[in-house]
Amino acid sequence: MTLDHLQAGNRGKITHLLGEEIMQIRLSSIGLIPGATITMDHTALLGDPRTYTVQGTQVSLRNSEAEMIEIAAA
Amino acid sequence: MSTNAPIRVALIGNPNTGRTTLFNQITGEKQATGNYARVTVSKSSQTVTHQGREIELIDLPGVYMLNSKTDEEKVTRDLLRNECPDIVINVINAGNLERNLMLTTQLIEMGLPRIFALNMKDEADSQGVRIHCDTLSSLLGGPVIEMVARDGMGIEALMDEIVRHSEKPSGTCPTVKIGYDSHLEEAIQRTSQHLTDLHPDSMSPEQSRWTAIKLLEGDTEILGDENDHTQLVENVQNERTTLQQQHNENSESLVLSGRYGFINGLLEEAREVETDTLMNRVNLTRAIDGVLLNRVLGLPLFLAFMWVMFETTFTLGTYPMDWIDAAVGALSDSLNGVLPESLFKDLLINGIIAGMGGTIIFLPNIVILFFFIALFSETGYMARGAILVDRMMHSFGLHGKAFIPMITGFGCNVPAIMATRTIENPKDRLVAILVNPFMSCSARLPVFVLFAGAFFAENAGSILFGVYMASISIALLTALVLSKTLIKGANTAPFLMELPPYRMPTWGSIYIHMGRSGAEFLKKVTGVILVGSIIIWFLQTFPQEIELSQDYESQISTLQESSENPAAHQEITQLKRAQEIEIQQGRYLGQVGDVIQPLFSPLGFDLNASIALLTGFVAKEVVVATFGVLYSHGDEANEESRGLRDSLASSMTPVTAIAFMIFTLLYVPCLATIAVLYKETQSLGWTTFSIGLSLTLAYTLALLVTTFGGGLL
Ligand SMILES: Nc1nc2c(ncn2[C@@H]2O[C@H](COP(=O)(O)OP(=O)(O)O)[C@@H](O)[C@H]2O)c(=O)[nH]1
Repeated sequence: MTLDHLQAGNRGKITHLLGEEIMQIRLSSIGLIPGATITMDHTALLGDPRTYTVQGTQVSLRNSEAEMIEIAAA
Repeated sequence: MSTNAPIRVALIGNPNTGRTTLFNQITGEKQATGNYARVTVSKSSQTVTHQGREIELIDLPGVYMLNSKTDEEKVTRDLLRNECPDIVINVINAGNLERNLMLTTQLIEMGLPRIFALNMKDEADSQGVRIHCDTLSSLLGGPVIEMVARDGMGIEALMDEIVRHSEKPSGTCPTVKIGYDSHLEEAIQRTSQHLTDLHPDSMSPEQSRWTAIKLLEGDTEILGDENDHTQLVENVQNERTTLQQQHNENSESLVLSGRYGFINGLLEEAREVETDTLMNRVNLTRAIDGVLLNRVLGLPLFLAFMWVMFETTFTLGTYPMDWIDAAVGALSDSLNGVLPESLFKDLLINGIIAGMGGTIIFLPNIVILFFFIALFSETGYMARGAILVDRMMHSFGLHGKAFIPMITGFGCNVPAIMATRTIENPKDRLVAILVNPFMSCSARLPVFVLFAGAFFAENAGSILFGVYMASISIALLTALVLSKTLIKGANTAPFLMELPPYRMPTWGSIYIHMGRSGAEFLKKVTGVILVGSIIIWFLQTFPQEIELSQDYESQISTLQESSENPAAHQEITQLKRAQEIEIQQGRYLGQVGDVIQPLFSPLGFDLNASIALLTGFVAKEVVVATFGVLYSHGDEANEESRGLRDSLASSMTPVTAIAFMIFTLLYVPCLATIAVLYKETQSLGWTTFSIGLSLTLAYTLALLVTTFGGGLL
């Protein structure tokens, strides 16, 4: 499952980063790293972008970016 | 290191860790900070003295990694590698070690002498995070200083440490090794051995290990450096392939996991977290977000805040504006009384004071607007606003963060273009800058009010609304076209960003924002506006002697003497007006108007309209004043003047009036905006492009209205 399918209030554990390398680096640079636990918090009006909490920090991603993150149930 | 040379210290850290705050605290400089991922675009350096030693501080852009994938990373890494600062200060947000230490692991591997500025201790405390500095210090191989940069706490200790550190003999920086997965570790050892063989004397063991890791990560820049060693490059490729096969994961991920493991191990030992406090804090931010980012309430609330911001900017702004107006008027009156009649007096009062006074009057608006922008950015709300409107903006090729600058453009394009600085990606920022002049600033409003009233008194409100709708549509469509054509890379930048927790803003940081934008504005007024006003005055005043077609003066005086009847009175007024028009046309400004008028005649604009547009180049407010002068209602003309409306209404058709409004809306940004455009893009090319684009659009659309509008009205 990819992160964009995570429902509000649910958590997941990041398993893989997909997509181009530059994107992977950007994602990992804000703490979206394999092994980290992530919770989905809020969704903007049209469902995009969304906010998540990862390791005590809040981040915001467009769904097209969340698609690049593989998660497993945690 | 000789004891006289300044100690060269590089400040490095993730964005939003307080580097700029720290830099300002040490140097006393007032750069704007922001609780908002923001880039110190280029490095800046300042020299200070501490304990009699000169210390050169180099502020580097905020980075998360040292991979040279982005421009900021490149600037930072190049400086660290090529200019070898004596000490690196790694600014770390104590409240977010997991993420901040990722950069630290890379600094450690570069083997640079380092001091850790553990900033935002106050935030860590409030999150219930306790850090054992001694443990951290020995694990990271450098002194750790706790600080609250915002309040100046820890600055002295940091400066002392810098001096103490510089007195140590070089090369005493402890080696810290970050361990990797065993396969990767072996590959690193083999590659690093290979490197040592290739560069026998020039590489320290640390350097060759670092280079080996970078090669295995597939760092294109380092691979490029080693391009000549084909055998090495080939080996590295093989190692990478093997690792991929062994782990079903590429080597970059393996390196990341290794660093992540190091960080986790370190945190186990050096940090204690009262989980309750941390969760309370996260939950508080989440709870506030529950309202402010609410799917239903979020956007209306955001728009309401924006409305309050503009409403306050303009209503509260009117009081100081009146004071400034009165002060400028008083100054002008008193000079008028004191100075003898002369050209110099005319220049001073009708050129310089009138021109600068007319512009300086916007200072209160700018300061108030930036108060709100600072408030939103310092509390952390600005980043939320970007989330709320991103979807909509994105479909037009704009970044969510471009929203505030666009709305600000309705007030004045100058601070609006300055406000695009919050957009990180240079291409996104360029699009946001280039469309901004199409947002109808308040200086254009008097023109629209005058024209709507003169030609469409019945529907003036709808006409105004229409003009604003046109303004937004043209800006959005331009953004769409630009991001699809000329500025291709725009709008591809990821949106992903870290959301700062909600913070109480401090007066100090808000004051810096307001003060700086105010000061920049004043600098502009004393620069470009001053020069512009003098030029326009000159063009309007010279040549002094104009040959008139008839002797108006004597005709007028004969009439005045002869009778008192109303008909004569009217005749006098007409004569005066004809005389004034002829004089204006004789001046250089009128002559230039004559030259450009043929250009405007396809649009149906007469000589007066052409001259008015020409002067509007300095500042759009001037358009109305120019009409006033040209139609001889004196300088006192304003958009409410009846007489001016009537004269206008008889001088062009309603269709031409619409064309004129469209033209005014779109044509060349005013002088001040052009100056800011240039300052912010740092490119003569894009500035010229912006002027060209606006002229072309203005002309084409006005021509379309003139040609086809007749049928519609
Ligand atoms: N609570 C707290 N906030 C700080 C501290 N230092 C800086 N800040 C705030 O953190 C935000 C980011 O600071 P800035 O210097 O712009 O960070 P930079 O992006 O690393 O240059 C600003 O709002 C500062 O006022 C600190 O020690 N404690």
